[in-house]
Amino acid sequence: MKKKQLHVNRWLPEREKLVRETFIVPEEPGATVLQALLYIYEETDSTLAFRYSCRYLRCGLCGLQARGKPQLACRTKLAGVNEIAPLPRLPLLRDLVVDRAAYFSTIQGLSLYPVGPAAEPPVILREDPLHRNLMACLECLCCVASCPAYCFGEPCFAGPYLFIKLGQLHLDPRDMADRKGQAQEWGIKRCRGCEKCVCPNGVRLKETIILLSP
Amino acid sequence: MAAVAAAEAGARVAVLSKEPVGYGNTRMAVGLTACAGLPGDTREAFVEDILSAGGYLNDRVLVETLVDDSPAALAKLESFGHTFIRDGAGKLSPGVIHRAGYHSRARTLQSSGAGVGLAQALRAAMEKYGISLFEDTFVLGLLKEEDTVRGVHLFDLARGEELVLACGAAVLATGGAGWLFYPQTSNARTSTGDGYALAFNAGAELIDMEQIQALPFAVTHPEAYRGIFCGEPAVAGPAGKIINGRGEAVLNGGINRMDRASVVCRMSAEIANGAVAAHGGLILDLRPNLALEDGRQMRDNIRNTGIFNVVLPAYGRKAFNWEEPWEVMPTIHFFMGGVRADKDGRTCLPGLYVAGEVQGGVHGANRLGSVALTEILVFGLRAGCAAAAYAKNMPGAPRLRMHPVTAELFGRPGPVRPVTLVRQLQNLLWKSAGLVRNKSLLQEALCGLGDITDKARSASFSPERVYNTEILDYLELQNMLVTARLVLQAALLREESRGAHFRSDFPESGGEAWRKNIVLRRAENGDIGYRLEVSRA
Repeated sequence: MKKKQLHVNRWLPEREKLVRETFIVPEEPGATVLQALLYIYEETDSTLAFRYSCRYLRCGLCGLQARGKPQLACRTKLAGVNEIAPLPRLPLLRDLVVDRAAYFSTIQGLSLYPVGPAAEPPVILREDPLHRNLMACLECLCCVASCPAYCFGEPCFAGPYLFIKLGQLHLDPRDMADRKGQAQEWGIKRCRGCEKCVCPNGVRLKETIILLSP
Repeated sequence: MAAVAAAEAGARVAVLSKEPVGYGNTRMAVGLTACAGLPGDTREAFVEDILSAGGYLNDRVLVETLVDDSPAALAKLESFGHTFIRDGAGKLSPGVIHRAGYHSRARTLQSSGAGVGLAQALRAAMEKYGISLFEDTFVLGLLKEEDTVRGVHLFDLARGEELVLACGAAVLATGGAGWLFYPQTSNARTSTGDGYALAFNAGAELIDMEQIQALPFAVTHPEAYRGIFCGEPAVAGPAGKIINGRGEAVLNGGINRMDRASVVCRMSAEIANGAVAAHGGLILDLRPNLALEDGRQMRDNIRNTGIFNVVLPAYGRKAFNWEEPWEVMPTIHFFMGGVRADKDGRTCLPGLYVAGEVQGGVHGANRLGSVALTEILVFGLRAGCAAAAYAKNMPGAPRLRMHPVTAELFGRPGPVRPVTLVRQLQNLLWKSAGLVRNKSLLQEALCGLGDITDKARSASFSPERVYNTEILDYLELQNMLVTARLVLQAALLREESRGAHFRSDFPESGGEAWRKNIVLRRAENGDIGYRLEVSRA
């Protein structure tokens, strides 16, 4: 079987740095980056830490950097990928594993659920087509990792992911809170004219940012 | 849902999860959710559909509870921001109420954002109710004061430390154990039977652990996608055909009206006979549907649910359009058996509650499609309420003792890595208890588990404290070994074929004589004790 070299940039918390290691992996037709990671894990080095769960586009856990942009390991073909790294800009635990809890703790307390009078949910509920699209957000954080303005630890800017959540709620007739106001407080003006964020699952980021912008 | 209900009832609640919260099987679901009370349906019809699909091994009270509580539970979920898809006027009209496979009536709703939408709403609810989150935290064991569950023993993966958390009550909502059969499973990587093992080790009862449902259609290749599900009987449409490796029809039309277990059973027999296609599966030919008057519309409707999205990268555009046949193989999907509990999730152990797939008895020997999400909502709410009410009366500061588990593992040298043993166990389970079982296979597998257990004692571990994957593999392996033993033992005991359990040495149903639940419980010496009880269907 055809084999190739795959360079893996691993975050070592003990040394607080990324270290590049090279592995040999099989490259069968249709192979994905996730398959290569599983091969390394099973056959070569089971200390290699990476997250995954569903194996194809249902969970959003396997985000990483390949071919110069954030993407999901489960749907990225191994052909053409020579080097991978953890999602940039986000806090890391080990190797390719993002400290998701640390990221989400930065947007605690924003009431990211429908806020309104405590009534029974409506029987009639009209859903905006953009809302349906935004609900497909896998929360993989690839959009945050691709945001040139984002820097973990900086207050009051959480990258595009937060705007997806605010967009969902802004379009939800059950929500009475001022989501456009929150978007302003959380720095949506930085997004004006940028358009560099990416979504591997087709969530309409640009449209959402326009929707929430003043 | 259990956490939300407990918090609403006034309890202080913490959610413990070995992965980020909301990234399990619920997230991976298509989002189809059955609900009672919709036009054209009756309570009796819904209850009877679940019981008859379950081969009458179900607990009738649990089934009736699921049906009766479903409208309120779905409404509760919507209050957290979830949306069940309406028509253009925003109403739940017949066009958006689906008749899922083997249901006699239309009663299934589709979720906006599929399972991810549902998971997002549940996570939002945790913020709403101020629930504490412990992510990347593995539960090593339930801690008891005398016979009452009063705490949990934890391992913080992110720091490599063990902790003890005292509680007034604990609710297991750990899901099932499909990962025992990887790669031949539709399940999340986290489904390693943790809840079954925790409950068994603590002394709770489990029932019908042999009843493990496979979905009939999963892709067989390439390796990256092996075992990922691409459909249930409804996907075959009225005219789809299943063909064996010799080109002979195994099932010719009408598959969409069959239940999951019946289709899987027919396919399994054919696969066991060796009449297989290139990658060990059978051929599903959907092309005859396209010749029907509304064939393309039907394809588009099914495709819009996202149920067979994986066919596109695996088999290509023509297959995705049903213009080329797919090679398919059944894949392990759901544990009908589990921890025995009443309609409030109350187990026989004081202080221990369960909800969702980890609970047994709702679905009997075979689960209907779109009822699992209903189950987690209904029984999550009930278990959370009951646990909170119970915990209120518990005195504070229990005396808890625990024995460190991981301290001696960090940096220990050894001849074998934990992941190698995990893969051995998965291979063993798929071959012995996957689709077709018999006495000798099951007995051999039990011996094989002993061998893996022995090897695990000398497994090797790296010394790193932060997110040590080898320690995680080892801890999961321990739970998988317990769960696998329960499955094999129950499968040996049920000397008949019923629902999802097919014994080649007992291929017929045992009829009324076997309308019994197999109840398992840890014996004094650590072995599995069992008894048979007449089903409460």
